[in-house]
Amino acid sequence: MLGYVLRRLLATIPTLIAVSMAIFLMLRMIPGDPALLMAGEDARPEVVESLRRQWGLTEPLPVQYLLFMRNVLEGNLGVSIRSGYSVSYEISLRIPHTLRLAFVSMIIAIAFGLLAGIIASTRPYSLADNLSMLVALIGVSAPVFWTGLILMWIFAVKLGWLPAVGAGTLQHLVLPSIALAGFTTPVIARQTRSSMLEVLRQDFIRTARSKGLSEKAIVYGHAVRNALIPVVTVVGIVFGRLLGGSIVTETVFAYPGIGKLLIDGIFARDYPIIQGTVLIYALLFMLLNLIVDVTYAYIDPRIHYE
Amino acid sequence: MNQKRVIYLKFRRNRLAVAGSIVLGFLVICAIFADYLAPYDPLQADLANNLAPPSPTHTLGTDELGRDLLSRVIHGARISLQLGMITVGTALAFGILIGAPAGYYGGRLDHVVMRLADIMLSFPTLLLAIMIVAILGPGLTNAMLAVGISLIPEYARLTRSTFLYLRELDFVQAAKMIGASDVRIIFRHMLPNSLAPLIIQSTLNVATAILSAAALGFLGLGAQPPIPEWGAMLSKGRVYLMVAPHITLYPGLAIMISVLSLNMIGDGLRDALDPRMT
Repeated sequence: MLGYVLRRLLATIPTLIAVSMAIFLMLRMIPGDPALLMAGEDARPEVVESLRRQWGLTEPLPVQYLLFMRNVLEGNLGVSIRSGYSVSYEISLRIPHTLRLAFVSMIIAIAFGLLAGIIASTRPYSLADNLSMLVALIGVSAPVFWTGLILMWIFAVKLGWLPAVGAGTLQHLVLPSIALAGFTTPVIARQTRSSMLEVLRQDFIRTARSKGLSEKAIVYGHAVRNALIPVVTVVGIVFGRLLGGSIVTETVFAYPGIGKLLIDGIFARDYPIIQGTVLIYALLFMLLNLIVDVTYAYIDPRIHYE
Repeated sequence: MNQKRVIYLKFRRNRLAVAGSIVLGFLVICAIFADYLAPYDPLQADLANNLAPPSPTHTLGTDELGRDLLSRVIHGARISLQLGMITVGTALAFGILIGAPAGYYGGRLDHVVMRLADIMLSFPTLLLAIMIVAILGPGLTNAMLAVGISLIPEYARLTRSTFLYLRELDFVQAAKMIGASDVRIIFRHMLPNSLAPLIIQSTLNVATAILSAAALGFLGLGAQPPIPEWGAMLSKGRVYLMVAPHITLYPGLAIMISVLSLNMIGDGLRDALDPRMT
């Protein structure tokens, strides 16, 4: 098991390097002098020069990349043009918010998704099943910024129960996480249902039934654990969509996370911020995938023995 | 009974899929005949009459510049559908171009291609699109490019795995043995047999493309005003949520209905093309 984790970790290193190269190239592909881009249009010439030295912007590309990596590994992601604070600082201020939002949404999505999927699979083709799958289809089709705005309109503007923008309290988390859960829960629910249907068809379930086990014991004790395996994979995919969706959701709710930082940065042409936040997102996503893969390996005994 | 007819009949039995097809057909008509169906010019401002709620003269009301919302939504259908098809079409073409040789020849080429796809897939899809637009600058064409590029790795992967499987089959081996050129084998023999998953994926991807482009539009990174793209309309409407919620409601509803119909069709196709006997 540990061997698998280590091998998996090792496998991410080349991808990490490739991703960092992609992000590095991204900034240098924008037309214009990168030093000016990083310093801002009206920066003083000394600042521009020092940036040129720090990031080696006059050197050939491979050297630039190495300097870039050295800076990144030291935690230096540059300085925000807009605020003047270091990019790492700006990110550190906001990443707790984004993580909180992401995890709360994910928990809601997994909890409700699993529940709905299991219940639907135990009453296949019934009204409950068809209805919930239809709702799931609608949920996945509605754009997250629209659901967010509608939720905001109903609960914040019309009813005044919850705050519309900002962060800080638990109430602030409610609407954005529900909006995000809106398009992630259905995916988990559908996968759980189809996975459960596969499992419930199998012989060992028949055996359990003929042994006289209660339906509940069968479903929750035997079926669910086996059905969970493909669901874990789907959770990984969903997390990616969640991260993407969180960028939009943070914009809708003016929620001060790194998504909003990224978008504000794009409009302000704050390239150090753009580069830094994209890097963090990529790292976050890869870390998440790693955790999902390890969880998958952990619960699927067939992988254990390889 | 021939295979195509079986598939068609299976599809037709799925009520959701049929409903989706009807709705999509309606949307396509809106898109093609937008100029005739829209009661007003979508770009015609009428500032005296702005933010008006739905009324007999303006079925869905007017937006912040007094433009008729219904006309803008109808024209938005044209933009979104065009966008969806062009984006997916190009992603499909490039995905096949990259994935087919990877699956067919295997070895080094396969490795390189899969690595590239993995790198692109290390980013959440929307983030990738946002990154590309951040480099290229906002605009409808750049948004299309961005969304298109973000869809390519999926197609490359799908084509590659299908080809890896097909290449071992007898009919491919036979073609090789009689000396057919690789290009001929790929296009004349293997590709037609890999259509099913590609078609399903494409239908679902048009839905995703519309959503992603709308998201870019909402963020202000996609279609720019005065283009009546649904996401961009929502973005403008957001400011007026308290006084004129209809500007936010209807374009969003249009997006949802379009995407829903495509998802229903995609699901129906998936079930109809499923080789299982039950």
